This record gives sequence, C-alpha cells and structure tokens, in this order.
Amino acid sequence: MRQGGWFQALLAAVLVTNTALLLILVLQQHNREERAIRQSAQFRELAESSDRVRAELRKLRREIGAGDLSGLGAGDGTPADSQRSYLRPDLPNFLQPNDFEEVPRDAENTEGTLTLFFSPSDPKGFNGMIENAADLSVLESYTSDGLAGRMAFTDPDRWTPALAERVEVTDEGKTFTIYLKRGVKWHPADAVDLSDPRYAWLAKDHEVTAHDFAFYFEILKNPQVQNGFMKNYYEDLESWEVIDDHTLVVRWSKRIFLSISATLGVPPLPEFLYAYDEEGNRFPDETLGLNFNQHWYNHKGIVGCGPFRFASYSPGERVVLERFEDYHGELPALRQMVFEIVGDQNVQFLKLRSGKHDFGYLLASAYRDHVQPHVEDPSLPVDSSNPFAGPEMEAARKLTPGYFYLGWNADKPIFADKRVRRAMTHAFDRTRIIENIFVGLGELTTGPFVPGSPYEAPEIEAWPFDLERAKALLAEAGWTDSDGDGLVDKDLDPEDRETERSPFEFKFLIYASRKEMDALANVYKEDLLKVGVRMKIEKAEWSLMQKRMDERDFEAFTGGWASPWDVDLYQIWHSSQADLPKGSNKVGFRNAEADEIIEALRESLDTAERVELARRFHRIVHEEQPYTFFYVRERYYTWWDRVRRVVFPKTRPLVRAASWWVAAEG
Amino acid sequence: MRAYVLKRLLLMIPTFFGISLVVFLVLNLAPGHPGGSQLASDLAASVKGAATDESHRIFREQFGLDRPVLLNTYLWLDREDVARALADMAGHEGATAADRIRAQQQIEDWGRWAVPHLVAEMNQSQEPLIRDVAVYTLRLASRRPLVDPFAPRPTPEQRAENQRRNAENEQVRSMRYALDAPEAEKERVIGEWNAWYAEAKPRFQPSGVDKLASFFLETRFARYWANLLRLDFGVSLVTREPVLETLIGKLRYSLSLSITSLLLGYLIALPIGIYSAVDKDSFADRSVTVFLFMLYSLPTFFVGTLLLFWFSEGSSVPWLRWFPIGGWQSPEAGELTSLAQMRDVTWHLVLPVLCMTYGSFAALSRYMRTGLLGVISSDYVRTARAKGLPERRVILSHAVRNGLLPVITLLAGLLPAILGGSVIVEVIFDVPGMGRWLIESIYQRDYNVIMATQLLSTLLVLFGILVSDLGYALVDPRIRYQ
Repeated sequence: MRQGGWFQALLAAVLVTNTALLLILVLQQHNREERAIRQSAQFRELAESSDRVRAELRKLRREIGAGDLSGLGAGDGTPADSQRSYLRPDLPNFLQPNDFEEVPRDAENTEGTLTLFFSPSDPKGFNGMIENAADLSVLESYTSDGLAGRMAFTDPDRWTPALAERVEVTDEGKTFTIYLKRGVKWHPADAVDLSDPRYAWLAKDHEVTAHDFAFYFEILKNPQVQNGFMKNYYEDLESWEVIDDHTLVVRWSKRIFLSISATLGVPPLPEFLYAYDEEGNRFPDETLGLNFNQHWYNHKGIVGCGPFRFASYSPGERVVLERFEDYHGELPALRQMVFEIVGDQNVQFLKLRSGKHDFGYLLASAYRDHVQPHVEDPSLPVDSSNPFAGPEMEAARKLTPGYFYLGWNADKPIFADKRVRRAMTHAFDRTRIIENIFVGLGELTTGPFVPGSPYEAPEIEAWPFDLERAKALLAEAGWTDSDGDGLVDKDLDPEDRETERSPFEFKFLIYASRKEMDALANVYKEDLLKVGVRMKIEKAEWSLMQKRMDERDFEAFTGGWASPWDVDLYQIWHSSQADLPKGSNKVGFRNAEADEIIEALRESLDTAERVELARRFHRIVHEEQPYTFFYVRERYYTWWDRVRRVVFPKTRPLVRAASWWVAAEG
Repeated sequence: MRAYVLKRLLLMIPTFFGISLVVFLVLNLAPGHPGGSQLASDLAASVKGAATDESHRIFREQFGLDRPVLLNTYLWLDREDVARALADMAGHEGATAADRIRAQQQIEDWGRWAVPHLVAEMNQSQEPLIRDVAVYTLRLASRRPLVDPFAPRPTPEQRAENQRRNAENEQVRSMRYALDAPEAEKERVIGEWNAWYAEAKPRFQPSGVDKLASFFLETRFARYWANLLRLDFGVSLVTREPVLETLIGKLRYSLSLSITSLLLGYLIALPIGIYSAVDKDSFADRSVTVFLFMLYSLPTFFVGTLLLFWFSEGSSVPWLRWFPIGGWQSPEAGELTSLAQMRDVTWHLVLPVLCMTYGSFAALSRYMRTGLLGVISSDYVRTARAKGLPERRVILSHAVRNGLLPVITLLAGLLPAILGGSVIVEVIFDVPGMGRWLIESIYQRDYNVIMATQLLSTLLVLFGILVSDLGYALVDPRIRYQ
C-alpha cells in the first residue's frame, strides 16, 4: 500500500507539472499569435492607406479633367481613344452615356463594410455559365461586368458602356460590332494561394480581350456544357469573330429583340483560367466541355472584372467581396460586402434586428408583428426592442418583378369556356386575400406585366370580386343547379346520350411548403361553394408539382413567373408551346391573334411599337382569362440608418448595393 | 474470441451489401430525379431545344442515370417496343403529354440498344411522322460517350479515340431536319443515316458474352459499386464537388456538436441516475424524474427557437444578449489567436449543444437508475455491505460497474447519430454540418451525397453493434463469445 501511495503521488506530481507546462506553452503561443495578428493588422492598414492614396489620385485626375496621369492606376472615364478606327464611323454609338450617378461621388466614407443576408443555402457553385441560380446572379452583378449595362435606375431599355466603349448595330439589328475598352484587368484568381509554386502558372496579370468573349460563346455552344437554360437564348446566334484583341463582331441569323440583351449583357469568361486544369495543363478540346462542368475553380470563387472581387467563401457561413482597386470604371464607395448565408428565417430576422446585418427584408409574418401596427396607427408608442418601427431604421416597399396567378387548364372540358374562367376570377377575392393573408405586401395585377409599366393597357380594370356575376357567367355557360344539391352541373358531352349532367368539381393543385397558399385556397374554396362549385385542394411538393405540370396532369393550380425586364411572351403564351411536352404554356392557351402579336413582338426593336403590341396582348388575356392574374409581391426592405443613399434599380436584382455607402462608426 | 470477431467482421460484408442495395433501390425508385436545375422551373429552360436535349443526355450519361437501376433488360428490346415508344412520342392514339415525355426519355435511355430498331423504323415505317421522329431520336441514341474524359493526362491514343468519337457525335448531330423540311431534304438525311449505320453496324451487334456482361454490369447499381470498391464516392450531382471531400469538411461541425452533447449528456445524466437509484422513490427522485420527463417532452425545434429569441444577441431583452445568433464562428474569427478562436467556437456551441442534450437526460438517467436498481439488491452487493465497506464504495465501485451495462449498449446505438448530426439543431442554429447538407441533398435528389452519408452511417451502425457486444464481454465477465 505504502509503495503504491508513493507511486501515485509521483504520478500526480508529474501530471501537475505537465499540465502547468502545457498551460504555459499555450499562453506563450497565444501571445505570439497576438503579436503576429497585430503586425498583420498594421501591415494591412498600410496597404489600405496606399490604396486610399491611389483612390485620391484617381479622384484628383477625374477632377482635373482626365489629364494623362498614366501609371497611377487603371484608366477610368477615359474618353474613347482617338487613334481608334471604326468599321462604321458614320453610325452612332448604340451605347449612351449613363444619366445616373451609379457611384456616389459625395460619400463621406468610402471604406465601409456592408453586411447583408444573401441566401438560405450555399450557392451550388460560382460558375455562372452552368449555374442558373438567383443567388449567384446577385454576386455576379458585383463581380462581373458585361459588354454594356442597362441604365437600371432610369431607363433599363437603354444601354450604357461597360466593357465595350462603342457598339455598332448593322444589318437590321442582326450584326453587332463591338469595340472593347483597353487595359481592363481580370481579378486575380486568389481563391487559391497564388504564392504556392503549384499555381505559379496562374499568378500573372491578365487583360480582358475579345478572346475571352469568344471563349464565352464557344463554351456556351459546346453541347457537353450543362447550361441548357442558356443555350435556348442563343439558338439563333450565328457566329462570332475576333477582329483584333479589342474588336469583336457578333452575328445573329434572325432579328430578335432578345438578341440585344443576349449580346450586350454577355460577361467575358476568363480563358486563362477555365481552359486549364489545376496543374496548368490545357484541357484537350474534345473533353473541354465535360471538364468545364466540373472545373476545379467552380467552387472556389469568381474571377471577374467588375468593381468587386471575390475575397472569400466559407460554406454555410458567408461570401465576402472586396472592392477591386484596379477596376476600370469608377470605384464604388464600399470597401467590402459580406453576404451571409442564413438557413433559418428566425436567425435571419434576429441578425437584422440586432444590427448584425445592415440591410435586409422582413417576411410577411415579421412585417405583421413589428411594422404593420405602427403603419396603421402612427401614434403607437415604439417598443425599444423593436427597431423596425424606430427612427434608427429606414424602409422601402418594392414590387418584385414577377407575378402570381391561378392557372386553368383549358384542355380540360370544364375550363375550356372563357366564361367559366372569368367566373372563377370573379369568385376569387383577391383584394381581401392580399390584405389579410399577404398582410398587404402585394399589388393586384391584371396581366403578365409589372403594374404601372407602360406595357399594361391603361384602361383595363381588374375584374371585381362579385359572386353574383360569377353565378350569372356560369349559368350563361350552361352550369346550373338542376338537382338542387347546391352544386351547379352541366352535361359536358351533349352529343353523347349516355352521359349525364355532372356537378362542377375540380382539383386545385397547390405548392405544399407555402402555408399562405393553404390559407388562400381555403378562402377560395368557401367562396366557390357559394356559387355552387366544389373545389378540392391537392398539395404537392415542388418536384412532384413540376412533374404534374409537365405532364399537364392538373385542372387548376397556383403558380408564379418571374418577369425579366425584356418582354417576351413567346414561351408562356404562344400556342406552339402548348403542345410541347414540358412547354411553359401549361394551361393550353391558344389564340391566333395573340400568336401574331407575340411573333411581331419578338422581332420588333421599336419601343413604341412594342408597347402597342403588348397592350393589345394584355386586352386579349384580360378577356380570355387563361390565368386568374393574382398579385405582384412586394418586399419590405429595411436597413439601419448607417447605410446611406439606398437606391433601388428598376430591374432584377432589386438590390444593387454598389451605389450605396456606409457611414463610419462612431 | 478472435475467431468470433473475425466472423462478425466477415458477416458485415454481405450485410453492408444488402443494406446498400435497399438504400439504392429506394433512392432510385423514389419520384423526382436529379439534375432538375438543368431543365426545370426556369422560363427559358422549359423550352426544350435540340441543344438542351443533348446537354441533358450527356448529364444523364455521365452519372449513369440512363441505365436501368439493377439489371439491364434493354438487351431484349425488340422493334415493337421501340415502335410503340415512337408512336407515343409522335402523339398517336390519344397519347397524353405524360406518355410523350416518358416515351422520349425512354428512347433516350435505351440509347444504343434502340439504334438498330430505330434505323429499321426509319426505313420501313409507313407513316412519315414516325419516320421523322425516328430520325430525330437517332441523333441522341447514337451518341457515343467519351472514354475517361476526366483523365488528367490522356494518352495520345485516348485523345485520338475521343477526337474520333467527338467528330462522329458532331456528324450525327447535324443529321437532322425540321418537320416541315422538303421531302428531298429528308430523303438526303435518311440516306446519310443509312450510310452511317452500314459502317457502324458491328457496334450494335454485341456478342453473347458482351450481353451477359451488360446484363449485370451496365446498370446504375453495378456502376456505383464499381466506384465504391475504389473508395470513390463520386461527385455531387448538384455541385460536382467530390462527395468524400465535402463530407470530411462537414464532419468537424457535426462531430463537435454531437460529441460535446454526448459527453455532457452522460456526465450529467449518470450521476442523476445513480442518485435516483440510491434514493429510490424519495421525493427528490420523483421530482427529478418528473422534471426530466418534462424536458424530454419539449420538442427541439421549439426550445431551439426560444433559446435563440431569449438568449442570443438578437434578444429583445438587453441584459440577456449572451450568445451569438447561430452560426459556427464570428466573421472576424480569422483574425483571432487560436485560444480566442476556441473560445469563439465554444461560445457559438453553447446554445445548440444545450438544445441537443437536454432531451437525452431522461432516457440516460432512467437507464442508469434501472440498471443500478437491478444490481443493488443482488447478493454480491449485500456481501460487500456485509464486509463493512462504506456505502459510497459499495455503490460506486461494486454496483455501478454492473449497472452500466445497458448504458453501454445505448452508446453503441448512438454512434451513427453522432455522425449524422442533428438535422433540426443544425438547421435552427445555422450550423453548416452534415444534417443540413443531407436535407438539402434529399430535396435536390443528389443521389451520390445521400448514398455516401447513408452508407457511412450503415457502417457505423454495424461497428456500433459489434463494439457494444464486445463491450458487454469486457464489463461482464459472465459473457463469453465463442
């Protein structure tokens, strides 16, 4: 026992000393790291201040009127180069100077960081050529420039120079000759460690040239590349030709309105990166497309040439963008943007409320709890824990480009008659549902255009909620209650003697994960019963719903379409799309006059003519009611007042923070 | 003993295979399909152009989605099957949209097995529409996949072969016509097809051996296992990232959460259980039991949300803003020392771990209590007491050792849960771990990811069971395995 005791004591002593030593080690390490961090912070400050000096110089140069101070940084606002010769100097430049100050020039702080909610899940990848995702296009709107940009804040139908300084449109709108700016730099591909000898092949400066656009088109057209969503837009792209490093000619085989945005909106694709494997070997041409689909850089980041460069990505947490100090245009007044990936809606709300996020939006339920009472009664005292109603936060309500609707399958006998479809609209109390279920965050719509846009026919008024009229219309279409069971009925096939009158019953397919849809369907169901129609609600998960739509296996459903800025009605409304399996004209809308309008609209480049055509179309769908057009959603955007000059573009994405700035703390 | 372990290990192989088969079947037969983003929901994507068709076909080919799941029955395809599908596709005799979609997909998947029949239909069908559709589908069916396209350094022979195939694919792609093309043009294209087939014919007449091999091997399941044997879990169908790499990356989040919570659970629940057993049926025992069961019955998603709203930095009560609002670490963590980073992560872990742990107290402490009660009245404990040992020693070193038995079995059963992570907690507290990943993958039908996670937890369950059996033997000298 005694010996054992000695042993144990010895063991304990050794243990204690070891622990103490370990502790000391950890502390020492801690101190060392702290010193290193301090030093790196100082170093960074130094680098930043030199950046600031550079920015100041740039500003100075702008002020003294673009005098030549070359060597101080990339050229911005350089006037079109006088030695340059154009193929058609007689033609006007298709691009016009921007009439909006996209970058604030009077920002008091140009070093701010903006933190905002980005997406509920990780981006599937950062290669915009193969990923068709809204979250990625948000990032790309900061990191990548196209040939030209829409004047998103004033008149998005007009284009202004971005990477191209001049565009000549010839051949009745089928040929685009594009003159690129010189000296535009690609961002460094520094999502990998460029100082590692392994990536030495990548660690060079690269200029954006016409070849990068040709590479874009090549990849786009490569059948191996998984970008079906884009190939469709470019089916009529005939050829592209690199004249020299800074001149490019793009030809289309047909004149189509969409070819303007499909040409001018194109961002270059960095060939020096995407044509090579991780060791710097060029992919063989015959497998380039397949290798491009799973390119090693697809999940590392974006290499673009826009005002912000991709700084870092931590999966499930955030994407950070930083200002690209060598940007060819005007530098934005933000140094950094942090895009947070937040899966849970509660967390998203709390981060905004606590000020961790500078900018965000409220979901309907949060809006109802925290803002609506104060909107209805401004005298209500503001609870200190509710900044949304307080003076420190500002807000704006914005219509999101797109609309929701109820679709009626016109290929089913009960909905073949337009009077029935109109009766359905009359029985759907849209105003009340928007007010109560969507807490007023939406605007009723009567057609496929954004309310208030010039494309809407001005005289059209929404069909009102009117059960009597609904009943009358049903009766007109032959639906009456002949057996007194409360449901209207009709013989759907009078030719056939065998058939009897069948009651008006149909299944309404809704998307299961949105509880608002559930509430809406129940309200509708009750109103329909009052006019003698029985509706059964069917819920489906997204992929199942998609399948049923593709197979046209439904009678009625709720759906939504996002509206791109360019009006093109072909895919949703042309009769040819109704007979195509998986086509988007799921409700079987076939109207000869509408087809004519749609075809004319596809080719017309004249705005006044386009507006007239769109209005004619609007009148037709209002009369025919292939859909019961429902509402356009509104977003309640809100931000802390340190974010300044918050302006919203008219296009999608609605948030373009590059034009904002953030006040310095304190 | 060693023979027993060996036997058990060997038995695991067929078990594992069987489970993988079941999971694979369920997964592949469930409705929905991967690669939705390639075709679905977007405006532009819903119009299927010829170019899109081919991209989609290549996608299916790359992941073997064009093959039958288990056994390749395409071998016995006859002309009638093909003719029927063509008729459906052409929209004959009241074929619905669903039939048309299915028929087109079917012909695409048959691929080369359908080519001879398609050629026959093209030449012999009486109906011009069927003939046109046959020509249209031949373009995709006769496509040749490239040989090992992702090889980092292809040999010259391989490159030559792939170039040849690519050229052929290009040629085949151009051999089509619009439905309203003039008859002469159609005749010309059909002539081209016949010329092509005359040359390529031998490729479409496999020998008996080839057929037998195809029957078993040219299937999704065989393909998956072939890769698995090389420890290749494939790439995600959605992101194209190697599954294994991502999985290992996600592990650290889920492991930290679950191991901490497990340790904490045992550390707290076992003493409670022992105390309850010793002080059986006392007021304290009963109130603890009631309290623990109350905790047990509170759903995690509810408690999680409450914890966030009350004790996080987003709390509406200023002096309760103790913990971060979900996530794994602060944005500025990269600029902290290791010690400070550890503190930062720990701080983020508090709420989720709490949320994961409280529910396990009830079960664990009950198991401990029951186990201990079972032994506390046994003879040897009485003997120990009779020896005059202090009660403390009797309980702690004599009784508890045996009372631990059921708790050990429980531990083994928890192994897969440790790895799988808690879906709910990870979603609520925004931890980028395995649970959240799995859920997202299920929504997107990312077969490779789901398979990999399921197989991993299968493996863990199997080992868990083995370990618990062996654990019994260690703790209980009466148990011996032969």
